[in-house]
Amino acid sequence: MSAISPSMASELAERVYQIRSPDRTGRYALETSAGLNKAFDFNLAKGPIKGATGGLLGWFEQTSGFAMVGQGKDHFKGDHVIAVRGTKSGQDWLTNGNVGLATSHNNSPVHAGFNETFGSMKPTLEKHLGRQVRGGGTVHCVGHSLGGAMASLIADWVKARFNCTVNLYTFGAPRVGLDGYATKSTFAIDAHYRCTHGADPVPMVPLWPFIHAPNQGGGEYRLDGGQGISVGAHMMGVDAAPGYRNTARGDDWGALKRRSTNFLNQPVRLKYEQRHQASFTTYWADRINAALITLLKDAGYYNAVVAQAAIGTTLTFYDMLSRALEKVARASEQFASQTAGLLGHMLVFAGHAAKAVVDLSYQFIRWVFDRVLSALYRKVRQAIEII
Amino acid sequence: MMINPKLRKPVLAIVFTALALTLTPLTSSQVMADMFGFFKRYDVHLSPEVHGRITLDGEPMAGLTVYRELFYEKRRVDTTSTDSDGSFNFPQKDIKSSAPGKLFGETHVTQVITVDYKEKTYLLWRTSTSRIKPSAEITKKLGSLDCDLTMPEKLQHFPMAEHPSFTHDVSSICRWTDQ
Repeated sequence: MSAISPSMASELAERVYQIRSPDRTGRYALETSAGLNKAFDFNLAKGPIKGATGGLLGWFEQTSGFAMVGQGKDHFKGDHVIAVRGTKSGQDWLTNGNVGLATSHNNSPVHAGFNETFGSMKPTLEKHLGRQVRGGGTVHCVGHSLGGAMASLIADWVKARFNCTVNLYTFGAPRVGLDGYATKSTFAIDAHYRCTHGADPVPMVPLWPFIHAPNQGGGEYRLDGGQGISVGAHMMGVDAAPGYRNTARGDDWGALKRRSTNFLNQPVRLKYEQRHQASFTTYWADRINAALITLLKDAGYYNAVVAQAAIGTTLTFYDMLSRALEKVARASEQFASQTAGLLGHMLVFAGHAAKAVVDLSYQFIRWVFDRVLSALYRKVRQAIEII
Repeated sequence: MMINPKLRKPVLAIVFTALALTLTPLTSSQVMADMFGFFKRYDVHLSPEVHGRITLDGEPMAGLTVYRELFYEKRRVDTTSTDSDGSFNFPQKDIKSSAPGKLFGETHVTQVITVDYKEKTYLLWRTSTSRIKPSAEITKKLGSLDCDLTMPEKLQHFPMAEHPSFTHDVSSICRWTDQ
């Protein structure tokens, strides 16, 4: 039941990229670190497991899924590891607004492209694993980027097919399916280690309504404090900045989790005078969300709001939140200016830059929330109509 | 982070709409190519100079063909022969490539050096790295690739000078005395 270490998982996610073509004697380069070499054996004598995807273009030349299976030894005796990589051709799927849906192995809607590639790999995987996964050991599924999406589908299939313990480790993986898929995967997979960098754009796609599994509990391991969007933040290698090999180090997932909580919960306090820096972007959506939580925590209202929301009252959630903020603003001058800063940024975010924050009454706060929500829902409706 | 399920929906919606805005330019392949640096070409270091010597039970082996295979996007092979002293050399190899700028790149440099003797192939060096710049330790080791054909192939780990918490992992029949 024990997990493979962060350094082992990130090494596997990276190593699988180096298996490209055999040398002149038919062998593949798969030299591993001393630690990984002690834990798993990879036999590539029969070659790696390949999956091909069709599509309109590239019927013949694209090999788009790729996996290698390792057998555990020593401390991991009886375990198996499946390391997966995706391909470059997959980037069309991610940036294409017309994401198709297919039905996954657990009978829920998932990304059609991912599912097709997985389907093409399944017969070979079945052959490799069918003989081996008998002793009841853990199957560790690992992948970076599209390989992470693939690893996720493989993990669900292994769970359903062999009913063994299954752990999933992904680095910078995109979203695989809709809520139904995420929920089933959350409960089926024994442990999720979903590693991200703050500025890695790939975990942000495909767009909602695709969502990440696990969708409950703390499955995300945010490995750095990066913000904004940077293509380099998606890379694995030691020379990349920050590079998943560098940030997912050591033996202790617990330590990474503690750091992750810090990265994910940086306090944000907004100044009213700077409200014009806000814009209708993901970055500001995150900042405003964080500023709201920070303000409630600073004023000591956070737990009360969470508890009240959980119990449910006759008020809508935003009524309750607006009432809480009104009280917060009255508590001190500092909280009043922090509240004004938040509301000012929300107005600019929602496209009401000319509107000044005149008072901090319940009515006004509620009106600002309405502006933000209606701006958002208008966009959502437009986007859905386009699709 | 999430306050409660009721708040989650709007939060998702925020993320979604904002992404719709930020990702719109990406659908234009021209913009995307520029952003991701598709047209930029990078220096990629495939191999340092190689200086080696092949012996059998300490006796120099002359006239053997040595193969250097370098993998990066595609396979490149060059060959050389050992001289009367058993020595052989390969020049440094650097290329220009656009691969490092690609989002789904993750292309590795793989070096394989082998020699054939009496119908058998011996592995003098095989390793793979995500680095596209020279690695000091690899340059040093390939500068003295002295191998005796009687030695068994062994996986060896050399500290990566540029990133001390990682190792270069190399399979080889050669041994280096400095470790």
